[in-house]
Amino acid sequence: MFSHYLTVAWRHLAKQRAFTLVNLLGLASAMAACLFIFIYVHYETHYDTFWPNSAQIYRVVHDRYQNNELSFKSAKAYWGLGHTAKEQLPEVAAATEIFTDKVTASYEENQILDIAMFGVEETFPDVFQLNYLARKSENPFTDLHSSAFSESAARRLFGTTEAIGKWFKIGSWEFEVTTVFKDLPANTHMPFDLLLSKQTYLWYFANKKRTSNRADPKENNNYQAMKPVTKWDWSYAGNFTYLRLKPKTDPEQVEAKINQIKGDYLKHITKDGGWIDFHLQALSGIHLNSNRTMEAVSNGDRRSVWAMGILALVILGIAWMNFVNLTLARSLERAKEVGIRKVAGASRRHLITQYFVEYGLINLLSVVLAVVLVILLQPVVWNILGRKPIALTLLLEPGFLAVSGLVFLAGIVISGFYPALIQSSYSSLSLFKPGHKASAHRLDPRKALVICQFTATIILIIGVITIYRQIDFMRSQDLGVNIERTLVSYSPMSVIGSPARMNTLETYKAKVRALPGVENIATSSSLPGKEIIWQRQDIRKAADLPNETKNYAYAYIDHDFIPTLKLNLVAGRNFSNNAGAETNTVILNESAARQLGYTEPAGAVDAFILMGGKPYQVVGVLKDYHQESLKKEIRPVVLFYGYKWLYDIGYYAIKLNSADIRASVKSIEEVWKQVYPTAHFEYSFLDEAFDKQYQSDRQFGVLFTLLTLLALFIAALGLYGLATYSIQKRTKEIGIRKVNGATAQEIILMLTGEFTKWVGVAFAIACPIAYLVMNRWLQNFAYRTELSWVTFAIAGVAALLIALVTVFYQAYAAATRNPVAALRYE
Amino acid sequence: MLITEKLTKVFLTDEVETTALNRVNFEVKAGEFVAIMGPSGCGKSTLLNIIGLLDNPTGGQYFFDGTDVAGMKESERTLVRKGKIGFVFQSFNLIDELTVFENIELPLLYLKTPPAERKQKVDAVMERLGITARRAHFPQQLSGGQQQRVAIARAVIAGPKLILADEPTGNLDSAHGNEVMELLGKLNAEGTTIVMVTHSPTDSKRAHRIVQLFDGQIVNGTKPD
Repeated sequence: MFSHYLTVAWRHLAKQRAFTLVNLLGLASAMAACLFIFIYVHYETHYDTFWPNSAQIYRVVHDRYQNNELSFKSAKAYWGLGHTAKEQLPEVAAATEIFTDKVTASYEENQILDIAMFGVEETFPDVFQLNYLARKSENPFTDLHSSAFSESAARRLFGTTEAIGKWFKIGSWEFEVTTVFKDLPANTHMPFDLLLSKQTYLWYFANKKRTSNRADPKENNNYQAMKPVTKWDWSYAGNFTYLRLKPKTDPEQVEAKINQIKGDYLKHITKDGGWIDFHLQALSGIHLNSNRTMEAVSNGDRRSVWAMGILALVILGIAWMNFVNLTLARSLERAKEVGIRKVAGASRRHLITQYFVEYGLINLLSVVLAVVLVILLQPVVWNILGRKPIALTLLLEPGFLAVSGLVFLAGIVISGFYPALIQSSYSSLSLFKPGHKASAHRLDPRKALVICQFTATIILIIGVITIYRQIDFMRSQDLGVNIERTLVSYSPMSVIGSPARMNTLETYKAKVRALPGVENIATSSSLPGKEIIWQRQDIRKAADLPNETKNYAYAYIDHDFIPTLKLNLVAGRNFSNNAGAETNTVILNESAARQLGYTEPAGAVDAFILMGGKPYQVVGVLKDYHQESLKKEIRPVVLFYGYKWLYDIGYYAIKLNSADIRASVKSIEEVWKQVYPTAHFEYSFLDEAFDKQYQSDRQFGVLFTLLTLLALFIAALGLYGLATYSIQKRTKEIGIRKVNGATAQEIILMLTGEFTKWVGVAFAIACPIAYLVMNRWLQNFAYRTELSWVTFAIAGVAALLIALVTVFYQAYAAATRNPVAALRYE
Repeated sequence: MLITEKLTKVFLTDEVETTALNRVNFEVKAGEFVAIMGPSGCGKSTLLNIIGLLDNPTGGQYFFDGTDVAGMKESERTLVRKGKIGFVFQSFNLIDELTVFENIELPLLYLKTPPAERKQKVDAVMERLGITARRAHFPQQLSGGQQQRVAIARAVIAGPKLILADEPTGNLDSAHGNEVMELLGKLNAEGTTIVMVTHSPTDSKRAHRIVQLFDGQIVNGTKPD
């Protein structure tokens, strides 16, 4: 019997080629989109699951309060917390602390810029087990110079993964490759290519005058004794701290215990009105659920991922609705067959089974076509989305196959149930009266389905327009700072700790300023486009009480910073070129002045603030400017004069006014090589760097647009098929109308009018839903565009135009056909 | 074989009530060949549909093989009809997507006849009706006469007691029409009861008895001349 059903199903599909193709295209393209999205969602929701024991690994993070107000939420924890937890809490199986940096590694003529480096402890392998390709010994860090390289970084720097024993440099410090490990999968919240011993790195910072000397055994043996930092002081929140808990441990219990023991270690914070709450984050949940300050890399957005998942199901729903609609439209043609089969003895169950086999076949063909589309299109899709290709081997994983199988079966049931029910309900009398059904249907389900499809597509169109309006809004707003034509470079690592650093810097600045095409050059510890990492919680007006301190971001700038970036001083003055005179002065932004209690910026000028009890005089107030993207509020910022960043990484910002940017860059590079001969010159442009903050939004917009276009295509495909069939059924009526005087125009209006009414109903339903959804989405942005009526109007008109274009050809052909031919057709 | 008592069928639309059959008393004995005649719209096909359990009367009683089937639901009627009643239609009503073989075996599929037995029976009936050479053809590839022979083959494949034929020669030329009537005659001679609706006086002469219908009522039941 099954082979009979299969044979009949195949022949029906082959006979109705046009409709089979429409159904296949609609289903296959929707399924392909869903597969891509499911791959993406799976990838995003499985970050860091590749680590052995990942389910037991947690990151310790903290919320910082000052005088009962939340100052910030940090992804890092305090030095020593991990080890304290390991010592005092039996639930903790292992703990490790990591600090991160980006360095330039060089070997002979090769360099890798901005290599992600982790400084790790000997406890690192207790929590994170790497896949080693080669190693000198069990312990990756046997001495001062040890390092571990990823295979791809080793290949880039050394030209081979057989790098054990090779020596490379970071600045002037030398390291030996003692371990090579397999590349981490791309879906990790903590990507790294280079591991150094944390103690080694700290030792180098503490002993900046010393350079490594491979031949000196004293250095190798004594470095452990010379480590500058104690483990247990909890003084600095600069580490990522990870705990591996014992199996079946409740993380909330461990979190509560850490918050119980913290008091002994944080008196230096609590005595000044500060407070810390520690939390445990599940390792696999960090990527989508953590959006704190000081994350290792930008994390994903859980809401976007789930929005994509829901979008995939919406598109699949539209395709299934298409299928139901087109099947129902042609159901009357099968009425005769149903009648014959019933006369021959078929029960309703036989017929339903037959139809499910047919729908199963078309769904199966669609799945096959969808997989082919995914394989062929995946390089293009990942490229458009600006993502690294995600391996398609995921499609063969048992879990994925199971989910796909369920969706496939669900599709057959959802898309096939109602048509099977309707078609099998035709009575034997259909032989004599086609369309004679077991029961009358008052509500036309096809109209309802088309309305549903167009409702969904109108909502998507409104969504796409809103997303792009928001991106455009953010990029077009006045940032309050001029980031155009501004070349930015890091300060070279070689100046860190160098006694000649100031003189070298002044030399560099003077030479660059003298170049044609250069307007100005400034130095600072932070630039617009990045979060200001440094924060203080102990700043208050001199007149305020000690428990009235609040949180402020702070940075160090020079006297050229404000004019170079064309920031707007609304009160007071800029820093002078006299470092001595500016030792105890600060400049605030308006938000900082307001937070200090000054309603007018001028009121803050000449006032004194205290930071850590030390007084500073406010000499100027800057108009608020956007340090980061418009997704975030402007924070209160305190600017100090100076070069404290010379102990760390700083930025050089060079404002260009040349028409020939390339020539200017070349000249600047030449000056760099003269002044910093051992340092590599790497640069970027500030506006491009600032714009990168919107990269994820742009990618989201592109993806959303592609999916909306797909949904539109599927809906239009369905409408085309339905219109073709509906208009065909009215051939006789059209012929009679023309014979009785109707013009082609009147016929076209009559035929298209029905479909436009459906689009109108869909528009009325879509608007309030879209308003609610997009309004909610816009709340994620500190600065946002408005939901304008124009957006809704454009979406409505677009949907209407698409429907008209889809239907017009069929209507025109029917309206202009010879009425005799139309009547003879009957 | 079958008896109707005061059989009535009224069709209701929004505003119009049409009485297609008005208290019809009709009986066919086993082995009879009965022709039903009358002008268009007199209720012939309606009567045939009810006899064939394709439709329900709105009044009266209908006994098929001693069982009152008048008030049955469609699923119940299907079970009664299966294997017992065969149909031959004016427009053949073959399924275009099935071959000749597959069209003929259809009733056996729904009777869950095993494949080997199905093949044997279909081969036998095709041989008998002279259509073996067309077994793999589709209906569109056959002449009208051949299609009707296939329809008759499908009607008899399950060995039904009763064959209902609705204008079986209506779409055929005289030569093919005669062929079909010959076949029906042979089947009746072998014991199959046949009730046939026809406009053709020539065809009606094959019947044992002619029943005249007019405006939903039997007006005359006579033997043919």
